[in-house]
Amino acid sequence: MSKNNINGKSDSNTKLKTLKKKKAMWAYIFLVPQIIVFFVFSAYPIVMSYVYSFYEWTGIGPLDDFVGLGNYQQLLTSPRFWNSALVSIYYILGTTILGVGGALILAIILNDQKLNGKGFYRAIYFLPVVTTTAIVGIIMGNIFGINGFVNQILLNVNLIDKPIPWLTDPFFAVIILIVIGSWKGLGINMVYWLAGLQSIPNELYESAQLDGAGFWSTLRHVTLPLLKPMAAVIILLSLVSGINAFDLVKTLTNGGPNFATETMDLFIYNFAFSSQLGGGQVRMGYASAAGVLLGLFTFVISMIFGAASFGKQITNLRGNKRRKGGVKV
Amino acid sequence: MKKISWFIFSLMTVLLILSACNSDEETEGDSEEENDDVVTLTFWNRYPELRGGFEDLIEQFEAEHPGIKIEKQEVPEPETQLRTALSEGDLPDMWTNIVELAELMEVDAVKNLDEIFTDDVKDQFQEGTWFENGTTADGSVYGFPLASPRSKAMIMYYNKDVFDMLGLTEDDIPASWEEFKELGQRIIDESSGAVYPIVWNNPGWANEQLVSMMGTAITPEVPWQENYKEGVPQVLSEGKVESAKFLKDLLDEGLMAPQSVEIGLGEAEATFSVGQSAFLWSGDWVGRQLFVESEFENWGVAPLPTKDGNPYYFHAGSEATSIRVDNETEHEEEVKTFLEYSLEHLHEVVYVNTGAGLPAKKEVGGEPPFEQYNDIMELENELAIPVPKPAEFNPEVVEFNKAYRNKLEVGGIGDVVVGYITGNINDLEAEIEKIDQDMKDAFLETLDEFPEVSQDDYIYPNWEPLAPYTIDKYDELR
Repeated sequence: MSKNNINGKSDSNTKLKTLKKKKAMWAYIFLVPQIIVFFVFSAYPIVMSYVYSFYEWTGIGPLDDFVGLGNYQQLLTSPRFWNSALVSIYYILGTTILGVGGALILAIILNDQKLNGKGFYRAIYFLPVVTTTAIVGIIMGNIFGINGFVNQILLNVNLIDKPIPWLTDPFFAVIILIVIGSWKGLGINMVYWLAGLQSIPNELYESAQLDGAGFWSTLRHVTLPLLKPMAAVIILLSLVSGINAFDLVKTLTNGGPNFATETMDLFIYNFAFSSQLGGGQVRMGYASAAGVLLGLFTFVISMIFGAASFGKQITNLRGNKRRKGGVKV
Repeated sequence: MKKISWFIFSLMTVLLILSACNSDEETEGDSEEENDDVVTLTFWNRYPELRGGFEDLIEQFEAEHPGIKIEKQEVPEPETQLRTALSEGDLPDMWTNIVELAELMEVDAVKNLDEIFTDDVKDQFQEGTWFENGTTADGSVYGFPLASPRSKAMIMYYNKDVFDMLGLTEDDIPASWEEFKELGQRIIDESSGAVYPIVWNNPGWANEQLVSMMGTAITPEVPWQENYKEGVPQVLSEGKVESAKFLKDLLDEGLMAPQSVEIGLGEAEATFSVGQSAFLWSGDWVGRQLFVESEFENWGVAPLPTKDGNPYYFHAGSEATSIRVDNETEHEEEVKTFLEYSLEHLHEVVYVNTGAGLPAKKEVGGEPPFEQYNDIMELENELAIPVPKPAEFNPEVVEFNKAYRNKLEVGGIGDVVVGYITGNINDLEAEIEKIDQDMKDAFLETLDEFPEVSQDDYIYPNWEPLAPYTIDKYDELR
């Protein structure tokens, strides 16, 4: 190898390195605004909520009343807190089962090539997604009220002889919350499912048809297995969004009667901002501790679900890698 | 083609930027010009019944003081909004109270108003207006008093249209629960079920206030959440339990409008105004709401019915309805001008002329817009009775109360009462007893942590329920 050649190669290497460095520099420059926003609006509040949770603090003034794990201790022995956790779990499971399942049925129907006016139906089902939840809560409050539309219809057709307390009976109230929450998220879940359905190649359906498969067997042996990866994502998204039921619960039942429909996020709000609905005092530290537990709860749910749905895929991937390695040896 | 597209895009961008700069300059110029002449004070109001009155007052003030503009904002979630503003250091210049004075004092957020409220000025206000952790702290004034301390007791509004329609007279107004039920049944029968005897509302605080007030006719030694004879918190009393049971009876027997368990006060007022109910139980401010908001004039007022028709009462000075001033206001002089003007005019314009309640100031002129105003005033004077305020006796109890209440899961029995009325709680007494015991435990436990506070601070042997507890009574104990 001649000297010139060596020099030429090292020159081009240096140029490449400089170019790479420049590219990296620009990448960091473009990342900076997002990193700043993340630290200011996400990381800092999360870290501070952990700090606040160790103090008795009203949200105003200095943090000078350190109580250690006192807030956590009080929370874990509080029947009101556990009740709110239970209501949240009911809501999360209910909206996931009803919302994700319902959306799948809807998506299969709306994915039918022969159906006319698909765009119209999709728009109709998507409308609740873009409607403000607080407004939905208020309107549904009128519809399901004692003198509301639903009771009037049931009374008129003689299905009931006295109005059903949809919003003041804890059982019915939680059911109504789940139904409305599911209906509200139906549109977005439907769009996810449609995306999954449209990614399935038509050839597979044609082959199934040639093999004599009917609708149900095609659904069972072709559609559903191919939708599995998508299903895992949709269910996970639905579980996590079910944790944020605040605006619907606040406007529809406000957690009543007697905190029977209070979800964890409403519990946090009541203690953080409302002296009337909390314990008579505003307690930001106590609410922060509840927030930390809610965060852990979300994390645990995600991990359990992640392990249940993606665990098999990860094991398969590992198996494949090992098999590939074996061939090499 | 590509070049033309780029050219048009660049041109549009430049034009957009230029137009934005231009409009900014104009706006800034305008506001600067305005700022030179006019000082704007921000004011947050949380009382819906004072909305119209404040608008009138501000209009009159601005006409007389063209250099000062008051920007009033109605705050539907006052506590959340004020706490957020406090934590951001972005308080309005003035606001109607919501956060406890002690908490504001701790962070030095509220202005001392002693300069305006001299002893002579303070004497112009009703007895009981000035109290610790309400309008004053360590004897200094920190709140411009709005409503009289002898107000906010619940009374019964009756619909005269319904009375006329059913041939009822004022002599038929029930004083006892039994009479109320009898009349209620008559109303149902004679109106063929078109009119309910009573419409009520579901917020926990309203339910707690109602059962506490009705309950004082049975257990007068427990005016609110304390027993001043025994010196302990007490929410379990025969009076409260029986009153809650009376409400449930009314609902179960069809004498209370069924929607009462899920509506707010505004909807209850509307139901009453359109003649769907003969009676409405509420506070003194509702007269103005019926007259102005619902445009309904044909009503009268009477005391609430009680178990045997015995008198009931409400603890006077339950809240310090007042205006607070930001300690960091940049417009101290202008705020002072507004408060001095308000001292002369506010109670007349905001309270008497609108009928929104009873003013804190004595001898206020003005013309009430409806004739029932004086009846309400008389009733309130009779029903809102001063009771001992431990903070007057020992200011340390302010911090103590905060500490002991921090240990509670719920602040009162209102939500339990709602749960009971809606049929979700069977054993009301057991549920209230739990809250009562929690309160007592937290109270006694906290006493050990506060050596400067003792149970004696809550015991008032010279207090007689239903008799006003005046300042000289504290001196007797000292």
